[in-house]
Amino acid sequence: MKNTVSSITTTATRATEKRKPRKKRTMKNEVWCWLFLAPTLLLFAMFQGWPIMASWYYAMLDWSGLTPDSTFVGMQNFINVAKDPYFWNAFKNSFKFMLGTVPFHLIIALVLAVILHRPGLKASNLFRTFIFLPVVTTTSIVGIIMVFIWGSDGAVNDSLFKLGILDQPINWLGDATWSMFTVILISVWKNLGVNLIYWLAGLQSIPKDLYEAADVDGASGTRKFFHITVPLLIPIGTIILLLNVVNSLKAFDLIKTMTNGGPFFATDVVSTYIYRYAFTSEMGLPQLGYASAAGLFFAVTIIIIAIIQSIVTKRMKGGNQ
Amino acid sequence: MKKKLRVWKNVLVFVLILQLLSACASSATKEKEKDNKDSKDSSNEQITLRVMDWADSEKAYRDQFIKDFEAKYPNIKIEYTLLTVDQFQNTITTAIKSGDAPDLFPIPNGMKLSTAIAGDMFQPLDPYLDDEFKSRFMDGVFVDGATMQDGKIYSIPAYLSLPNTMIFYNKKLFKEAGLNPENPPKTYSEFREAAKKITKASDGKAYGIIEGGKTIVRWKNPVLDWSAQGGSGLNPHSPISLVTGKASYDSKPVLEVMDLFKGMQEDGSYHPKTMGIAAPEARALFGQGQAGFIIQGEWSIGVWKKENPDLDFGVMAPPVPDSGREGYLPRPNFQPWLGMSKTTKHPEEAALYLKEYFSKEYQSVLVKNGDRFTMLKDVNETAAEIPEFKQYYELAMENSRLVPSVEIRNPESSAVFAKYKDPQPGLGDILQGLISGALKDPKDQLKLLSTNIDNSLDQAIEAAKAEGAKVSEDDFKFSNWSADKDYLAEDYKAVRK
Repeated sequence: MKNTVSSITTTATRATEKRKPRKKRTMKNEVWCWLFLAPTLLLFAMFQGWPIMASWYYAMLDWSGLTPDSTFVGMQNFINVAKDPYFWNAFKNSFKFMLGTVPFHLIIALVLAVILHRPGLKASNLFRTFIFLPVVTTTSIVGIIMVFIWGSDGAVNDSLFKLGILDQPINWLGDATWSMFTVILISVWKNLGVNLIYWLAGLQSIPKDLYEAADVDGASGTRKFFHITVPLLIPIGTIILLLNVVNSLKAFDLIKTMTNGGPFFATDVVSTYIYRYAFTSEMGLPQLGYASAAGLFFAVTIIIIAIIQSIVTKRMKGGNQ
Repeated sequence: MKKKLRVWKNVLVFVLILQLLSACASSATKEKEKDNKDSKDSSNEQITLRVMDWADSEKAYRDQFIKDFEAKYPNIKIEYTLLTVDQFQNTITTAIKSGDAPDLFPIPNGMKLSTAIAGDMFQPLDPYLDDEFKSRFMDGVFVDGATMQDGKIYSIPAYLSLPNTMIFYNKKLFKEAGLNPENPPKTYSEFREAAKKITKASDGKAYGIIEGGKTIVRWKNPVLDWSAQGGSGLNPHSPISLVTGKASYDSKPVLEVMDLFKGMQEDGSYHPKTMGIAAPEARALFGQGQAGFIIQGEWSIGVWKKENPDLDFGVMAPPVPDSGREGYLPRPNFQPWLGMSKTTKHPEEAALYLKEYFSKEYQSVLVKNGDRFTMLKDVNETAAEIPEFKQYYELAMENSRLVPSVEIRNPESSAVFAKYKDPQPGLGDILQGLISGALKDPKDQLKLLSTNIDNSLDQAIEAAKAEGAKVSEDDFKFSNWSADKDYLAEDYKAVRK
């Protein structure tokens, strides 16, 4: 009994001795982590944190952004934003654009990634390059060129004529019925490459032995896709989804160059709405305070969506475990 | 452990000392540079004059002007920055706030002079400009409320403001459609019919009319100007009508212009590219002979002469309603443009730049090349060589009348414009919606716009009053205005009594 007690005491003492340096080591690691994080945090505070805080302040001012005088109006700008039917039109269009682009970004890019990930595929790098090329092209330049391609006498109408699909040209960008569809289509083409890279990274992280084991068991390609690939891609898929949702809600340059939010606000999204109020005015001065309020109003919405998505993701992960 | 700590301490102290030394060295170098610069300035040696604006159509001539200026004044180097209007609006505020304003820059769009002066943007030009310089300009260029405040000149206009909604027409397409190029249409019906005939005769190769449908102001300006010929009393100086004293955007003359354009759209007269392009692209397509008509300003003439020397085109006054003329195109007063930064360290050199820029020699180059009409005396008459450019001037002067300016009548009214919130969708948006098919009937939208503008103006007047400005709704009403007469200095005097 005595022996046992002394053995326990010795073990406990040793454990305490060992724990001390580990605690110190952990603290030291933490210090190093913060040290390495410091430049990023500093840059974030300077270029994102501060402007966000400033926007809250500006949103409570009646201010053009051009003059030193401003009037504090409290929440009035937010109230005016909420009352403006054209803000809600832009709000609706932003979500229309998001719902139009994101599913295609995810599904088409995944299908292409699975095809291009096959080991035997010849010239897969060439295909990847072709699909990725629009991503590295400046969006505003793409927008300007697409105006000509999708113009009433552009290449698209011309091809559809020759194929006998159309008997009179469609005004893809100038007709309120088609303009949003056209902008969505071009955005999908433009951003497909980057999603392809995300999915390829995800596919490469799946261990090959799982597929080999499935092969031994005689599983078909479809079964392997739905029972190995899809479940293992869900974590990265949710991140891709979040990135796409946020990016599509922030869409600006493509819409600005292709339609400028028109015709008659048919493609006016929140970013173009904010730009219009912040920097332009036909009579009188621009309304930077109001534009800031519109921006924050929308940002809060995106944050709420991000929180909901993160909760859903956590629950899904919990379910999987 | 202690040894390690000591090593770290030493390293840290060493780094701090190094940083301190380098900071001292750098500030010492900066001081030295500053001293050198100041001494150079004072000894009138090499200085850099910074000029910033958005005059893109002038770029080729300006580049040459800067070369000539630098050759004439070898101690002055010009650093010229050309921006778009939007870029300028963003850049100039930051530049002024950070104490880095260019030496010469224009007043931002939509801002009135007194607002700019209150914002510490400009300084008076009088100490640097002599009477000879001031005498070069036409009467009415330097007026309190527009370019002057409290009797001091703060800004110089860019050009002589003429209506920019005259019509250019393609003479070759006119002939092919059986129309007489020497007798262009005069009424709304004739204009619509001519566009229809051109579209029909061209069989898809050209269309009746083309516009830069994405450029909202190119929709707004024709409605504002042309409806004034129908008696709307609308003008670019005020949000309300000179006839009714209210924002009558749903009045008969406005609706008639809207109906005309809508009818032309239903006829298929608009070039199919119209809604997808901006004004410069529309101008280029007209230059290529793809449309019979385009509504544009005088600056287009120089572009076509340079880019499309074979284009055979004419200029015509906008058509009047079938029922006849009830008014004239509104001709705006001189607008403030270039000013000298309040913080410039080189006012004498900046004044030299202004003297050379607003010289007869350089302004003649701009007039000769069809870039603009200048506000220097006699230059438009002597320097204009392009026949269409001369014709534009004559037609514009004949068909327009100088409209009264609220700021000239009461300079304090600039406080109202600083508070005024431009309601959206505006006049241009509504016409764009109508032509694109997104709006079937503009009447309700125009009525709503009128209500919104009246409310916005009332609120702006109240807000300006609350800040101490002596303004009232009456400042916007001109009882002695007559649609067929120029509103001149004596009229302002009479209305102020």
